Amino acid sequence: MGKKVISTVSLAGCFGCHMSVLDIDLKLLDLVELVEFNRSPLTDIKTFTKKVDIGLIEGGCCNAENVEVLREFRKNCDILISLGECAVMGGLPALRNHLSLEECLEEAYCNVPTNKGNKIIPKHEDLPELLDRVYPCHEVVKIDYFLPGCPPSGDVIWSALAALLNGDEPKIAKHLIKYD
Amino acid sequence: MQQAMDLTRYKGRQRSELIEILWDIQKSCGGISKQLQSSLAEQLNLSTSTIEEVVTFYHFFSEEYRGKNQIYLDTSIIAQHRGMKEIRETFEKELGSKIGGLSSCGTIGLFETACIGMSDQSPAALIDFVPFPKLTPKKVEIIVKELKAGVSAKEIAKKFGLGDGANASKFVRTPVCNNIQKKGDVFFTKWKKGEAVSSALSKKPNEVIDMITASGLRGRGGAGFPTGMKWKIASELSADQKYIVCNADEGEPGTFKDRLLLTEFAGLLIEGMKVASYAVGADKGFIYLRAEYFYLRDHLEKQIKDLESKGLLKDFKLKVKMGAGAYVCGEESALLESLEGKRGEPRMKPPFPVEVGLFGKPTIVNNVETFVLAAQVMRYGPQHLNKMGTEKSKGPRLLSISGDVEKPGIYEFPWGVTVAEVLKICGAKNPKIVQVGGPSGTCISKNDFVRQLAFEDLPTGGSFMVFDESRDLFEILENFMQFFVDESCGNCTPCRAGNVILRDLLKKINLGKARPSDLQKMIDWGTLVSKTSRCGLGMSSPNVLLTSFKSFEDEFKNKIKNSDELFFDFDEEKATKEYREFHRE
Ligand SMILES: Cc1cc2nc3c(=O)[nH]c(=O)nc-3n(C[C@H](O)[C@H](O)[C@H](O)COP(=O)(O)O)c2cc1C
Ligand code: SF4
Ligand code: SF4
Repeated sequence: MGKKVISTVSLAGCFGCHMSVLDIDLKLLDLVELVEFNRSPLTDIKTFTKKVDIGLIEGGCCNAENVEVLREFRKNCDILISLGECAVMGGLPALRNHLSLEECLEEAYCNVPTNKGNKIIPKHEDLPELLDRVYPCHEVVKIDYFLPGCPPSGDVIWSALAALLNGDEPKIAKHLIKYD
Repeated sequence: MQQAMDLTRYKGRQRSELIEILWDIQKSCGGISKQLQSSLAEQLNLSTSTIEEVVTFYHFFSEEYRGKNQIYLDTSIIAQHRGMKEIRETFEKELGSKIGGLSSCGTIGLFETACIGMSDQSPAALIDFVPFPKLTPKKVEIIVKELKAGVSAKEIAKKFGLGDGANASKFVRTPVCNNIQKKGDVFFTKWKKGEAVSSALSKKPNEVIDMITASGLRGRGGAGFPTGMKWKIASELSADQKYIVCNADEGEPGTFKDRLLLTEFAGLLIEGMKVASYAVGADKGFIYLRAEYFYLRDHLEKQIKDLESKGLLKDFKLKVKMGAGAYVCGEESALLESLEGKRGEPRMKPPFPVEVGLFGKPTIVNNVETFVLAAQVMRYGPQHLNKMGTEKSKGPRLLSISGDVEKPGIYEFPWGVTVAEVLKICGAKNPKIVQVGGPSGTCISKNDFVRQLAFEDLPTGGSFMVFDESRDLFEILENFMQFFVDESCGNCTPCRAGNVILRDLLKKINLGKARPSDLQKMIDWGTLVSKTSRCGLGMSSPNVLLTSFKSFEDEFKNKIKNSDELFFDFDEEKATKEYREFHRE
């Protein structure tokens, strides 16, 4: 049996979830025995070159490009996982959801304490269009599994991947997702 | 503009009087501003936040100015079905304002509130706490014109003709009608003043309790706890003070039978409370009256005075205390908090109020109907109740019937009557949905019309709403879930957040955007909310979704999208519109 194929991407996330993937430490060695990585920042492969078994999505959708990439992932991956709070619920970026886009951009580009007189808010056809708010992935495409945490710990990620690679339903032990 | 007020008159008053004091201020000033709150805090020697947390808890208190005249429209589903939209629009047009705001002349506020106990004479509104049932756009025009001319709500109400019975009496004087549709022989007997009390006083307290127990009387407020047992527990506790409290909060949408009892049977109710006080050894009592029934306060106080002057309330001090708009205050422990002048947040149980109740003392809390029946047991003996009903539900049940029926109003039935019999007698045409026991009760379809109203089958606190074939199930459900979202006290997360999640899932289903997994999600969330909430509100709020799903599974499934879908109809065009239209020099 050939190796299973995994892809990952960071949408509106901070790469913390990707760091957590690396955090599975020594088990990474087991993982690369079992799988190969296709499109992913870890491989720097930018487009899908084959059908993928498992796609890991970090971050929700804050702009049109995120939506496009997420749809591509859905097209190319058999199983899609929302990895971490931002993908699952919008996370920190979604804090802007109760502000208008204008207020948000004003704050980010003009009113920040470090600004020295800039009044320009960048807008160009080459820049992806921002969405009115930040959406969790499952409002755009069907998501098969959700891994909670900010970021989910290496153990959570490993236990989910190991189960899926084994053909089992992932079950996360309670103590791994109990935070208080 | 909010009026100023000299608050020194409240100096040294008790914390337990806070709600009454806040009512004073709200009524004279049209609101309780931050400034008024802090001067009141000074007078009462409380912290400002103590005042603020109470003001912001109750719907009828406000920090902002709500006008010299305050109009509250009933948002219950029954009112919506009876044309509340048109009434609202007429008010908005005539006042030149929107819901939640002040009229263009600045003195009349227009607001919405949950069911005001007038579902049999809907659509209705409260204007300065005078009920205006059976509104029409024409009446609304007159009302607004008169209010603007400075005529009081009470005067305007009289022009529309007074209601029947005590509604027309000197101490009530409102257009509310009793709408008694079916009399039975337990409630509707002639009251002979003092009969219940003297019967009780001629016996030993424990004999009184034995009679109540033998009658099989169970609480009529919803939960159905055996009344005799409750009284017995209280009587056996030794304490320097015990209390008798009547729960007249009647907040379950679609219920209005306590309204009738308070109007026409207040004397019996008071006698029932006196009987309880004698049986358990209590010398103080309160009637906790929902603010929506403000118009009955003078009437109740008059009845208390009458009985006092006849010497029938010896060694029993009874007072009427007002609520201030909060469904959860019908929950007995929240009610006690409210009587103590606090936010109406339910307490942890156990201990139950009967052991640790008002001000920490043993307290009997019973529904209005329960006390009235206790008085009847004293007059006619336990057999009078015991002989009718089912094995576990004895005696009669007052039903408040509303919705798509020919004769909405009050019905006395024995427990055990089937839904079909009730539907026939009240003249329901093409009934499709019956909501038994209000939003927190059971939603049934035709298949279940053979079932019995009884604690062992379909329990009910008296609300019985009928919806015919023309009604949209999902509109009804959304109205109910919104009610729970608005009324959750917010103390525990499963109820505070869970009801929002349930309402949103329901909206998603209604919009046709839900997937098969969402149905399971609804059931899972519903189960979780009912299992983990602190009080009866959260424990029962998912009932309507869980039972309607069972009764109308096909209607739910017809709303659900194809399960194989991988790409959802995310509207990118719409989501990027704000950005595309955003320009800045
Ligand atoms: C959210 C909620 C609202 C309630 N509202 C009322 C009410 O309006 N009137 C009432 O008598 N009981 C109400 N109850 C039930 C009371 O908690 C309590 O069981 C009842 O007053 C006891 O009196 P009973 O034994 O005579 O029924 C409510 C309960 C809950 C959980
Ligand atoms: S979930 Fe946390 S770690 Fe992951 S992308 Fe969001 S903010 Fe970063
Ligand atoms: S269940 Fe709801 S109403 Fe009851 S205590 Fe909890 S939050 Fe408050």
